[in-house]
Amino acid sequence: MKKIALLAQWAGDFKTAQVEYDRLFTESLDEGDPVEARLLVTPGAVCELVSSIEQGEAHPVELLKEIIARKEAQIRSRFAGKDQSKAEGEDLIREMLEAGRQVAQAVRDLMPDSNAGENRAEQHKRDTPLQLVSNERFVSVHSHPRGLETRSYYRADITVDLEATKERLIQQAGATFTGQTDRMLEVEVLGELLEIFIDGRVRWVSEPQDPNRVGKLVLEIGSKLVLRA
Amino acid sequence: MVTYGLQAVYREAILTPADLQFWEQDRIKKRAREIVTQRAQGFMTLAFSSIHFRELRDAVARAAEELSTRPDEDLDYFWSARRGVPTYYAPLFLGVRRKSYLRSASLESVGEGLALHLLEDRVRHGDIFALELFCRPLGSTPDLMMYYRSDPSRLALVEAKATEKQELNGVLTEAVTQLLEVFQGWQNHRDLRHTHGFAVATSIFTPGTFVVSVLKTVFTP
Repeated sequence: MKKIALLAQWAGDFKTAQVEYDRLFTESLDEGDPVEARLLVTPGAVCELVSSIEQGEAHPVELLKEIIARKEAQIRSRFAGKDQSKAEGEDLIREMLEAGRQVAQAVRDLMPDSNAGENRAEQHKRDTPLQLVSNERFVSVHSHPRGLETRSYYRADITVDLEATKERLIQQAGATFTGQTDRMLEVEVLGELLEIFIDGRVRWVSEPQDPNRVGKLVLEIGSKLVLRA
Repeated sequence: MVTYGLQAVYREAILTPADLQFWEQDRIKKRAREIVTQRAQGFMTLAFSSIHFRELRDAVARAAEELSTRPDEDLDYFWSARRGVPTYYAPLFLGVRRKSYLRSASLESVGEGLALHLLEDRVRHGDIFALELFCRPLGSTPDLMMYYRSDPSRLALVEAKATEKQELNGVLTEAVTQLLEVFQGWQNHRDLRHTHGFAVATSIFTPGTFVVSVLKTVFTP
């Protein structure tokens, strides 16, 4: 589902986003829908690339070339045969190659000589966000100018019952609510404000502290959300 | 400011093959103006009254083409500056066209964010909106590609515009013009009956309040 891919990207769960985009891309090829395939091919490649960089990939541009080549082979095998179908496949490949060139240039601009002047393993450890998963809820903790930013989502298309969630968090977590709309709750946790959205996303910008602590706290709050049937 | 007023109206217009037959800019604009001023029907005031600044920031972060982390603060400064309250710098206006000091840097981002906020609504107007973001094309029209939660095969192309002025028909016409141009190409790829257009125009003229006009186009062969 496209929504999961987008939510996963928002939360920094690029592996899940890649799997979703690849599945949707393959489906669109199977259904002979080049328009949908065009919209899905580049996000899938980018998510796979980012996910690999997070896992320590040292040669991202080379990896991107491999990803593009793999997708190109997939498109050619699907669109082989009739002339019209083949032309659609060639259009799709041309657009993908152009997008790939732009992504490669962005990688070169953003990660110039990543080994220079610093131990790469140390740099990677410092820059990689903490990620936690429990019962389909994903949490990532990133650095933020104010300290830490924690983002979390649920790996399904859900609707949160905000009123019931509010009641539960007051009773079970002693939460204090500072704001509420029909799509969002603003909760005060340890003196910082945390946002809970109707689609199950949770976002918290907090002061510098142990990422594990904030990650687990958001995981705990996420487990208390009441979902609408 | 914690919450901002949100006043939104909604109309629908039928799009016909004749609307997509011209390639000259002036004729496309003329058609767009006609759609906005004469053919749009079913005027309805939407049941929105306010938007929390965190909702605005979240919507802008997901929909805007440019990075704007605190659009609400930009707007607060803009409204203050317009009242004559000094902000960071004294107003310096050299008479260069299109370089007015009284322009909010976050204007476009706010317009795009509000478009997403309204069209995503599944609580108040789930029957006419309840759209989900599919992708946000960078550097091109439309601003947002969305699909209906109830039927993901039905797409919506969204063009958002924002203005510091009170009058919305001008920017709404601009948005419809761009949608017509997109639909001229889009019809080569997809059946237009399954793709709706949403032109969303926002005015930040009134301090603390967003006035939004949403025009949905439905293609009828």
